[in-house]
Amino acid sequence: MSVVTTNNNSRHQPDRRGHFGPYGGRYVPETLMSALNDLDVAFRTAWRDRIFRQKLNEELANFAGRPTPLYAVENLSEELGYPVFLKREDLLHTGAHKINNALGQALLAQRLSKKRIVAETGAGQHGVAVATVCARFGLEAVVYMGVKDMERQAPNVSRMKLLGAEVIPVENGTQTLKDATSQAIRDWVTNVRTTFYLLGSVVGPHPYPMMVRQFQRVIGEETRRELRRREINASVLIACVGGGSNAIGFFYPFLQDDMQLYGVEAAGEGIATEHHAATLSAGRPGVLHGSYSYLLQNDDGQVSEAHSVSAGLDYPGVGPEHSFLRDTGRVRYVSVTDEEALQAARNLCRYEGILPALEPAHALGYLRYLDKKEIGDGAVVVCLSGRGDKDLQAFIEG
Amino acid sequence: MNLRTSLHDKKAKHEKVLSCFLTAGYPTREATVPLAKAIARGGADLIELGVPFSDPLADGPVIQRSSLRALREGTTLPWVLDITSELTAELSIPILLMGYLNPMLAYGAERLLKAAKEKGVAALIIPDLPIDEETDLWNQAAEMGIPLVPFVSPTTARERFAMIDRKAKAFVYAVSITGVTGARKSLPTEVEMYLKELTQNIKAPTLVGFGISNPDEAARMAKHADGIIVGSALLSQIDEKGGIDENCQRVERFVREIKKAITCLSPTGENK
Repeated sequence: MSVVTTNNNSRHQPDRRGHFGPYGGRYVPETLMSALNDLDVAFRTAWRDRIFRQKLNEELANFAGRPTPLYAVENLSEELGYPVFLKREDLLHTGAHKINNALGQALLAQRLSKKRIVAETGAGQHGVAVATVCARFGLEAVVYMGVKDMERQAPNVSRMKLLGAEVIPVENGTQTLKDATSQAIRDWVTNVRTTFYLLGSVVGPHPYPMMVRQFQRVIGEETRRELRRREINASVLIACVGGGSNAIGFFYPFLQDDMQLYGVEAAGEGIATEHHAATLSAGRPGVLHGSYSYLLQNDDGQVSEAHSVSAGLDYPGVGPEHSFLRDTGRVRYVSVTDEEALQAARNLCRYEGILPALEPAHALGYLRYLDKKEIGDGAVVVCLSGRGDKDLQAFIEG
Repeated sequence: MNLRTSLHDKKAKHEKVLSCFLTAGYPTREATVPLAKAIARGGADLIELGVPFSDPLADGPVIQRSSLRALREGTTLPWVLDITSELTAELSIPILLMGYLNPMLAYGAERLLKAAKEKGVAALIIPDLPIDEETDLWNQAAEMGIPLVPFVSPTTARERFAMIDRKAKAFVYAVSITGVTGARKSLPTEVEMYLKELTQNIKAPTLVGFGISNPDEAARMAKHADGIIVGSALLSQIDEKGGIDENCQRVERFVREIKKAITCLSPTGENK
């Protein structure tokens, strides 16, 4: 792996207190401050510890199934007129990139001697990853999930239960990821001495956005290595953005490279309507769930309800590092509607034999909007962050 | 007399302070002024008007519900500011605003401090703003005489005590237990140890809140601090379908009972 020495600000984010430019930080009740400090120290120490990294890499390889293939989708490439590759995170154990982070944090929980794990989940992919690593390491798993999401992602609820996790239905507010996250944080505040909060995305208070990025950057590092090995000249990378963990993990090793990066948000029924989840395109900075970042909110600072057919993108906030990358212009944030995402997923299934999850279907849905001049004679790489078994119902009904 | 002086004064006289939290706009906007007056009649020393937020992270079911209801009633920060000036004109006790950071940022931090000054707000309590963030806001608020109230909790590292004490221009809000707001039948015994350590290390007046549900618990907590805060237990006295007068009577009676329980302690209860 190459060592990047370019002096670019984005390489040195966040600062010691978790700020990416003006974003990030720790906006939490005092009760959590010492747990966050402990976590920060534990993570930094572990990340420098050769034995910890070795253990994590072994788990990623043998339990999760890394590295994942970089796969050329020939039929789609032919149709679009430029080469398209997929980073196949959908082939990982449990079916999504979420396992990369869940493994890392579970090993940290062990180091901190915490036996009880709480987590939030939207699509259920993070919940399944948490339930899986807890089963693997003998930890107690408690997963909060909005009742609306429990309905639309029912197969994942059954999987979590089978894996031994307790799934607690959240009936407050929007009954989706936002309120599941609030409930998980409330549990953590209450049981902070015994409980580890295994947050699933690059959101929340410092050190979560930085730590989850570090656990997910393996996606981009493998992609980079493979592109070099096969002498593929990639000019555009695309990933979907809800909280933004697959996108940051995918983009991070390429931030210094001369490459166009696209983060695709969920436009729901259209960004001009009130029914979307395009936080970076249509939100304003504010504080939710412990960090300062772009947020869907009304003029009074009340958090708006997000909407997306994809439960994993149905969140009114976004990771603070994405807010920073938006403002610096390094990443372009665009959006794709429910309908476009569903169509892109059906196409990939029908013409390539790959059923993507609704979340990365948004990244696929953006392909047809790409400017061929921007691609030049390079290739486009899409992060296929998860598989679509959980979404069968939506594909059939929609 | 500013809030700090009056609290220090009470501290010196060993008079225990009762602060009452009321979600503004709950159960209706019309009820807020009468309820606040009822709280004052009951003998409260401070009133914390809750500015409702859609995602109250540090709150249990009662305050969550009251916040959502208040939002449906059309409660906004500007409206709460107006109500405050109405109340400060009529009541002799200080009115504080308590609420989450985002609605305040949306209003504009500087604009809020100016409005708070103008409307007579005595202090701001922001549960998701620790002393480490928004240094400018902390400083500016202190300069303008609208102090922000820092929190301390059972998990607070001892080395933070001095820093928190320095930030406390009015008082320190001591969270009794790890967790969210909401009445508990009784609080665990380690609370007393923690409060003892706290009050030995912090010079600013200390008010204990979270989980205090009845006169006995109020007396127990007040023994180890300069005062107590009740919120969820008070809101539970309000019947959402009941009339304003009936709710005011219940709230006044509840406040009076709590006040009586902690007044019995003064001045002999404390012998430091």
